Amino acid sequence: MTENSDWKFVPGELDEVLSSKGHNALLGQRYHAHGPDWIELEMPWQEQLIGDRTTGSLASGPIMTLMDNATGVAIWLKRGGYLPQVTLDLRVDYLRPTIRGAALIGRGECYRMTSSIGFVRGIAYEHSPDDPACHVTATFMLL
Amino acid sequence: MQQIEVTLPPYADTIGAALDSWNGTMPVLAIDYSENICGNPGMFHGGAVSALLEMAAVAALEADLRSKQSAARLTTLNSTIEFMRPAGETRTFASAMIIRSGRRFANMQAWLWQESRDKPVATALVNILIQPEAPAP
Repeated sequence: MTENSDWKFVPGELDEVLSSKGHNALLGQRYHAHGPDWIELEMPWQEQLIGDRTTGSLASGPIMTLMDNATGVAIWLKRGGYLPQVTLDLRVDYLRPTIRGAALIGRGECYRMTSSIGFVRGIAYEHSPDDPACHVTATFMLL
Repeated sequence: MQQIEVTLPPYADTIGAALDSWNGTMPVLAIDYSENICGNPGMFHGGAVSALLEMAAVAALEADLRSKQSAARLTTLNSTIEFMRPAGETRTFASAMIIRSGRRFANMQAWLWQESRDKPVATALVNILIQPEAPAP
């Protein structure tokens, strides 16, 4: 492994990857925090992302994008580099509606990695990880 | 064939998802490729693919309930998405079928394709809670 090579994963530099263009830029996702085996992204609440006009809770699309990203980034964190991977499957349980006006934080964790597969899980919450709005499990194929 | 309106969330407008056509009684949603839904360069973001699948599932159940005049509030309980092929820069379609629909709960299967319906880009199992609509005040 080469130190400081182009592909080396530095959590604090994630925003350049996330917010430069495309769907992630539309959603305004950015780095929030990380630990040894988890990483969090934050997505600000936007009127254009809501799914339910009466409650103002987010549509499932932005939530799935946030969690696809948070769990995928958790694998980069574990592998230490921006290595290619694709999502094989993703399951989201919607535990409760999200809160109008509150940024949503997506936490991803890679709890097992084999030579070809990364197994990940995560939650999304606004204020406390003890009160999650969604729970996610997914697998990624490592390329 | 019935031509019932389907209501999509504001987020659908944001990413350009809309009703394309009807396949029998089932709505077909579609979305054109744009920068707004790009993940890896030249490809749909998996989140946008997931969103269209889930919207297709909800729209299909809503259309079915409306055809039976049983308006209800629908809440997605969970979605499991299987990604099978990359989705490139072309118009993309999604539709869904009811596996089982009861009084309180429906199991839906949705699939998403580009050139041919026989080559799904992704499929989804979507479980939806059905709650009676609150009476008008």
